[in-house]
Amino acid sequence: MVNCIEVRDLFFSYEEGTQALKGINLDIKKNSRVAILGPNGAGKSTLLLHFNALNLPQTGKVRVEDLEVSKKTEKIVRTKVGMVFQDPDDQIFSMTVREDVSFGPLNMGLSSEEVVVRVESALRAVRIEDLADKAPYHLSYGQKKRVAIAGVLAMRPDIIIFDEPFAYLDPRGKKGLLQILGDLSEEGKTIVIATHDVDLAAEWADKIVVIQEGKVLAEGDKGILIDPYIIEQADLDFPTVAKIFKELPEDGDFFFPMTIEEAVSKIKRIIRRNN
Amino acid sequence: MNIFFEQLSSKQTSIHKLDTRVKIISVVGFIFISSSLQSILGLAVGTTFIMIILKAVGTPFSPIVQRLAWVFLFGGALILVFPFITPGREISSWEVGNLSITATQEGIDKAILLFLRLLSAVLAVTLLNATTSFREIINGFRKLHMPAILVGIIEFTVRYFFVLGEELTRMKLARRARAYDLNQSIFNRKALKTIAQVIAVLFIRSMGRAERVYFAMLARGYGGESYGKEHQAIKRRERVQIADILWGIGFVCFTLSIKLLEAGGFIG
Ligand SMILES: Nc1ncnc2c1ncn2[C@@H]1O[C@H](COP(=O)(O)OP(=O)(O)O)[C@@H](O)[C@H]1O
Ligand SMILES: [Mg+2]
Repeated sequence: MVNCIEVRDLFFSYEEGTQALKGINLDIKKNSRVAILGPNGAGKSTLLLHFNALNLPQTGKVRVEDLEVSKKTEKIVRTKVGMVFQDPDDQIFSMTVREDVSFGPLNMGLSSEEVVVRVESALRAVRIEDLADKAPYHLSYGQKKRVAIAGVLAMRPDIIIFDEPFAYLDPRGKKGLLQILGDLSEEGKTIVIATHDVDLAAEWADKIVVIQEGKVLAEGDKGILIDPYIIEQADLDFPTVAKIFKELPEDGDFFFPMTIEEAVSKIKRIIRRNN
Repeated sequence: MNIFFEQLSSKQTSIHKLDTRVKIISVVGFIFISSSLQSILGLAVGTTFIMIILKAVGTPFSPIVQRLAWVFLFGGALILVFPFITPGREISSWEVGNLSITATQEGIDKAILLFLRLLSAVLAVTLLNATTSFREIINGFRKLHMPAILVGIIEFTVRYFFVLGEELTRMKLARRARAYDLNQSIFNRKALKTIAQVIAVLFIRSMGRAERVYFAMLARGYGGESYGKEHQAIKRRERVQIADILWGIGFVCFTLSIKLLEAGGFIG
């Protein structure tokens, strides 16, 4: 499989001196679902902003598809990588939903016919066609989040980045968002999310990168989420399901469930065996 | 600009459909000429003219009046002050202690004149606002070859103005949630201190937010040149049409004719 994002020895300091990234190395494969996991202040957002060329590497390199991220390539990079910010209120500023969603495509210099087509399909993808002419200010938080996502989808990027996508969403909003993420993966998009939600990472991601104090602490599949050393080092918590099964006696079955679905099937197996 | 105007501007009358550049130039022309008018009658005709067009494009008046409350307040203040500070023909006078206050006809005329100038200018901008979306106005400026930096400043000022407003509302709520008494006199020390803090925090928070908003715009490909593509290749139907020009000429000529009538001594 092909890497669509490569990060090599990336360092980044903010102007007032905070060194937010201290030598990050990372590969992200095409069409993967990556969760960047870490506590607050670990440097997740700072890293994500590099993928979109909003932060430019100070030392080290970031490659997106065939492009090295730099001042020269920033505009093209931004059409390849879409970024959904944590707070939709930072992202939405137009007077109507439709106008906001067309902001990106218009900036890309597309024809007005093309813009209309893209806006309609983006609104449909996040199921808010009926809100098209509403003013974003009056929408619920979950709806605003969808508007923000539509605004990015309308640019049709290959890679979509979400910073803390589930923060402040209610259960229904979370479910809806998971569905949208699933649809996007199916379409072949590469999805990267930053989160401190271990359960979500276990449930959704096919690759997990744990970062702590600006460094990659571990990467791999969700198996790393039950490694006590990693979890403790990263100031994270075990997935809820894992916490339960950790307390149960060893039963010779080395399959360790981390998601509800896995737990249910394991419990069923145990019941069947004991009958 | 705000939702109210943005909803109005999504209507479709013949004035909504006019070329934005023509509208901008007409309105600027109107303001230019009307603010040079010297007679109350001339200004009243100009103001009425704008009001008739506003009505014709379906603008409801009472919300407009509410939004323009500050204009009327200002007008009221003028009426209260000018008659007493402008020398001229005395129409009444009061003795307060050993001070005598006199009101003059010239002062009243001057106040009305200034008020009408302001009102007609504000109404003209309202007309532009009510018939053109913010995005079109900004693009109109660009098509008129206004320097990109100037257009950028206008665009951001308007957007940040709302960002600021939202931030203020949020902070007000948060203060109220912690039982801050909004009705207390603002002149005690504690209240003054709170206000000073609010202003400081508002400033810091809006800086942070403004930066995030700007980042989010960049992320969606915003940035001078590529944004400009939208108008670089002006499409056929985007060119100014004869009808647009006729309308613009009509609009400015009407205003000009008031000016000429006034200069010729026919009115005023
Ligand atoms: N705009 C900024 N200016 C200065 N320091 C910042 C800025 N943004 C983040 N930081 C600092 O950089 C570090 C990493 O922050 P961030 O990338 O936001 O972490 P995360 O998203 O993982 O919570 C933190 O110490 C934070 O205080
Ligand atoms: Mg963050």
